[in-house]
Amino acid sequence: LIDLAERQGILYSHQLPAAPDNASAGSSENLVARFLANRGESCEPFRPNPIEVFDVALDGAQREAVARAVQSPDICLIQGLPGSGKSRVAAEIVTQAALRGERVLLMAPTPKALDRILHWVASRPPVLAIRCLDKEERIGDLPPEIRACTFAERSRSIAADVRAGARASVAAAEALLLSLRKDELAWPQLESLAGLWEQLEETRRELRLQRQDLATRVEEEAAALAIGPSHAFADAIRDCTSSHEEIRLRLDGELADVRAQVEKEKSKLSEVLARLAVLRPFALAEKHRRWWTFAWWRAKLGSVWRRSYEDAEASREHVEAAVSRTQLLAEAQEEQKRRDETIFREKRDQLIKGEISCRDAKLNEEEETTLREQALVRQKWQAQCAALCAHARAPHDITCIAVQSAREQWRYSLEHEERQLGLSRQWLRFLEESPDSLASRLPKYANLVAATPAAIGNDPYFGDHLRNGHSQNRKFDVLVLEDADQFTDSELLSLASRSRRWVLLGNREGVSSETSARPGLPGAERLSAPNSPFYRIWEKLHCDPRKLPYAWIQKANQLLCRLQPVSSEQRRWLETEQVADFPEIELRILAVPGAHSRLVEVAFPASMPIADAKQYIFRELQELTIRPANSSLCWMEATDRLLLRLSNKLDPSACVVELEPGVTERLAAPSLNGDISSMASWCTSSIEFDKSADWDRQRAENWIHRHLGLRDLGRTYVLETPHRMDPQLRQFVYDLLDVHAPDDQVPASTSEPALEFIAVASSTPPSNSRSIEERGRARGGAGFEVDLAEARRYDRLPAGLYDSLPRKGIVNYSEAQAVARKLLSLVSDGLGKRKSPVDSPAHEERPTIAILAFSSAQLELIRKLIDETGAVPPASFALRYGEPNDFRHSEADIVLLSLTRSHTHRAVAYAGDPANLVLGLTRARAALIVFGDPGTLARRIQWQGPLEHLDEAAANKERELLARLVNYLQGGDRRSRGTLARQASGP
Amino acid sequence: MSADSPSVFPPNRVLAQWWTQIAFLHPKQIWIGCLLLHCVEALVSVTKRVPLDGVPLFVLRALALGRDRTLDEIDLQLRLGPSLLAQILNELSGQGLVERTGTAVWTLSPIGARVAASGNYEHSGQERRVFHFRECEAPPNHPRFINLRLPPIATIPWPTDRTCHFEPSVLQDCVQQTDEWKRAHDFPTDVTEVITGRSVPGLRAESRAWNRIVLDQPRCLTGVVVLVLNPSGGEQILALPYTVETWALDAREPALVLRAPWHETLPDLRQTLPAEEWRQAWRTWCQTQHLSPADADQCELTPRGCALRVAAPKRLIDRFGAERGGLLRGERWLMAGGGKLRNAFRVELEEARRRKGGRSTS
Repeated sequence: LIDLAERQGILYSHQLPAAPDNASAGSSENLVARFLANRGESCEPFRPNPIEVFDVALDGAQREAVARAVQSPDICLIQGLPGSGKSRVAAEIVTQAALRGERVLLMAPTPKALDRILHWVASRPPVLAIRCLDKEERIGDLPPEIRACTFAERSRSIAADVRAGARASVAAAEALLLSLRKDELAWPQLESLAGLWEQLEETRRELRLQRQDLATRVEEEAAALAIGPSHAFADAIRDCTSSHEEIRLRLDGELADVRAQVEKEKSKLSEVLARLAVLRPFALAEKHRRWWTFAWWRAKLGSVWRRSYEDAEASREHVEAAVSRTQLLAEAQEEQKRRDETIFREKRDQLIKGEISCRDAKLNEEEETTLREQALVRQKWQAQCAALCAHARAPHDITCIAVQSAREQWRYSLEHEERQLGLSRQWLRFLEESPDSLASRLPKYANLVAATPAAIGNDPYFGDHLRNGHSQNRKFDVLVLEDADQFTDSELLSLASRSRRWVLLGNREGVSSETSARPGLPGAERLSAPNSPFYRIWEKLHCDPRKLPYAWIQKANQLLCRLQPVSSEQRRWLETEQVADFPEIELRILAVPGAHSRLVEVAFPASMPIADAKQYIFRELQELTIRPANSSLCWMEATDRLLLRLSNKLDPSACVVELEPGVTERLAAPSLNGDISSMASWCTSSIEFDKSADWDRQRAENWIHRHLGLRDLGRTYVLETPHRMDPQLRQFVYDLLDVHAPDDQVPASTSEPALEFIAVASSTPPSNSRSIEERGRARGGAGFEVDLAEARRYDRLPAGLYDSLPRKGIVNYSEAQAVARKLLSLVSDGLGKRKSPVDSPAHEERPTIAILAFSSAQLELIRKLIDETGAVPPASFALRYGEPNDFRHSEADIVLLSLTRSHTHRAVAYAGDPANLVLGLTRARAALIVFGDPGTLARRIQWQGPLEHLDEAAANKERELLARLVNYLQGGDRRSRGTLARQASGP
Repeated sequence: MSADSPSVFPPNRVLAQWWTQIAFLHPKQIWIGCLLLHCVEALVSVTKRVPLDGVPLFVLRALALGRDRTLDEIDLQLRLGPSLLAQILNELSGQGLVERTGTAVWTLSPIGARVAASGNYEHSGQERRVFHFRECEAPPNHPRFINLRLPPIATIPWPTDRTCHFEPSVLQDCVQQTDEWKRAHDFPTDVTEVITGRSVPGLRAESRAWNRIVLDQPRCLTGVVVLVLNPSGGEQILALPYTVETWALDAREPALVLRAPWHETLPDLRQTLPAEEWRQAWRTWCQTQHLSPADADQCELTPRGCALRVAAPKRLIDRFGAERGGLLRGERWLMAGGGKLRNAFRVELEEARRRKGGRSTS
């Protein structure tokens, strides 16, 4: 078509191919719909980067969950145990999405679940939340912080607050402007003061200069004044100089005469010396008898020269004496002159010094005067500056430039404030003229819309009916679904169409009931856990290594590697075969008639080390036979290695298996396999990849995918740490829900048990040596329960209580009394000892004690007895009553749970739904106190199959949960604490 | 059904009913039939000035008061609250009017500064848009742009007897016309360029090459085209769509409004038909009433606006039989012309005064 269009320059509609019939349906179908219709194609794995979270209290796992949810290109599912912080994680996801500019639709089956998240996020600046009202909800019944999030309240408060704020802004700007304008008069005065100050500064500067030049000037004046105008200093200098001049002139004259005399004598001496020079050779020749010389002979022959020579010698002596005499005289004269000069200088210097000190004193006086004036100016300056408006910046210095600069600044501020005032007035006028302007924009600007499925459809601002210009309000970037395991396919499909990304948070599989009816679901639609769309999508996206079929079982006589599970029926088709090279290794092949034979087990001698056996399997069968304990792949990165953590157990003495260069498998110490003490199974702790052998994350992931078919798509995460609970209770939750607990979370032993069971049995003295089960087997339950629907049983209750109780439901008077007594003892012992391990949510002001029962009639009975006994906790504690379902999405510091049922001889069902049993047992933060009839409990856990209103699956689930509870109470688990505390007396 | 089918023209009873619907327009002339349309969809560059809403504009102006302002500083001015303000700033940021310079520091972009001053902002972008061109039946029959106010719902397929051809340069030419021309012809002034595959080398390598294909969906708009006077006294053309299946006429929402010079767009709409065409139409109708052409020619025909005054001798009037009442009440309509858009006339019958001599025609 593109070619044709290019050739023609245009394409005609008749040239277009006919669209396939399902084209429109296919394009509009989102990923969720495709998953639910089993058409979900495989997603490309993605690896989230760490993010900076808003809620810094989140732990590493919670941060990872947030990072996956926020960065997932399409869908992310998060499962969590009770108290593991799902709501808090949801709140962080909402905040992060809002920070990224995304519009979030937060959905939950109940308003309570929504409000729990809203409590966290409502006050966070990036979030502008709108809470849609359910049909039955009234705005006045909502807590204040939630009420503030409703559209009506938010639009009202925004309109009112913004208008009030705009008025305040105008008033503030007017006041500021007024005070700024008042400063206008101050600036000329400041300028004048600054001018005066600068003059004085100049004066001081000149004085300083004068002082600096004083000596030079006086010197110059002294030199110049000799011929200058006469004044005292000049006169003195002139007198001094003139007298000195006179002396100097006289001495100079005398000295000149002497020097002339010297010159004269010297010329005489020259003449004499010249004569001597002529005559001296004769004298020398004669004296030394140099007869061979011509001079000796002339001297010998003549005599005149001798006389002349002697005269000359005599003259020379005479003249030399005269010369030296006159020279001495001249020197004396010069000395006299120098002395006179020195005296003159000294005298002159004295005069100059005197003059300098005199003038210096004058300068000092002038400077002091200037300083006094400056102090006065500064005083006035400071007063003026103090009078300036607080918003005007005073000049930083007393200078005209600083004043000009500050004045410019003031002028700028004035103009700025005028503009601000102008804008504030316009804004106020706009708000007053169009009061609905903000409210009408609220649906567009709200980046978090929180609603239940029932509320969102008919919401006037975000509902399904919106058309044309408002239809974009119903579209969101992210759908965050809290308690997603409680949504039906149709609800999920309907909600998924509203957004382009989806984050689904639900309970950990096993916590949700097998069949649960969500309150308010149309037609009480029942969701069974395997059919919940949440778990179905989870199955498609989550990579659960525990699904691998492998097992390593250490028996007394052999080490067995199970490659595939073999049912007891199939065992008869097992054939064994010895390995030719290693006859002690036995291969077990399943040869079912009509099917392909396959190797299912390999048995090694018991003495063979596990590492050797594993290496053998990996080498010979290319099978990586690992047995992980964790339900998720957890990649960790150390400096030297990459680690795929498959168990929470960190065993330093773990056995290491070398698989291939740079790849090792670490095994945890074998654990006992159930009650068969002779068997132990080996668990894989981790697989490690050595970075120095060129292993990086991508290569390691590919290796795992190739050998195990496992790949973490990055779209699922499990939160496994119940943060809100006391460590003992946390351990109890792990045991109750059959979750593999991390080793680092084994509780420290404390004096006071966090979980207490108070047996309400018959008055027969208890035998401490006997367990709950033994007691149950022995004689059944105490039979304290009363069905209020049966009138003949009313005699089991005190007469005064009949009328005030409901007409149906099961009550247990003895147990109710035990609860009231326990509460009384808790109150009298002081509740402060029970401290919550984590801070209560911000919205819970007081620590809470919750009284829970599965029957509303029992709750009513307990409430009456507590009122009668006066066991009301202090005002600093909140006392709440309710069925477990009422405590969904909330918890209490101390929970008193009345199991109520107490039958004499048959097994009875405890909760309407096993999920309620889980809820009841997981609501405590600091202490859980369970009241029950041990006999009835024991009978219940012995019963298999459907019971009362529970179908087989639900009944089995309840039985399993109660069996784990009993097992924990009896210390069946090595980590559990002895909590079977005491027995309440019967009626 | 296509435009070459005769059933696109409504029967007389429908025309009479339509007349009651459109009489309030006081039509000067009426044409009925098909307008041949090229619905040309193309990728165009669009630049338009749109006024910014009040609240975001105030946020921009508050931001304009200082260079780099924090969220709190802006909020101090407008008191919107940090959450709402952050949303508005995000929206403005998406429009390129503000920029985030720090963690929580905002500044106006150069465009934002202009918008803060003017209150309007220029939005540029590319979009696929549909332009309608009417193809004339008579030469010069190159397509002329018309601005259909409504999507052409009342359309039927292109006539089979007519080849469909549209030259994309016609659209290019319109885009390159002056603003004055565009305003006169109601051509969107915000369209600045047509982006086609030919203008971009190597387009085929692009994954969005299909987006630049110019697509022509030829259709025929069935409508009543009326010439009316607008309140200012000028002439204007209204095209009122009708559906052929139900003969439903939408007289309240014209699909097309053309002011003067409408002749440039619809040059083939003839205001004055040759007399022979009147007469032929009258003759044809008379034949359906079993009157001979000679009898028909005895009537005096005088077109007046959208009415055709027929002065007939009394004996002929008597021969009209059942149609006589309708003719006398002005409920008979005739259509003249041979194209796909024909002149429609309401026949106003009256008795001819006896005059000596022969017939007279208009």
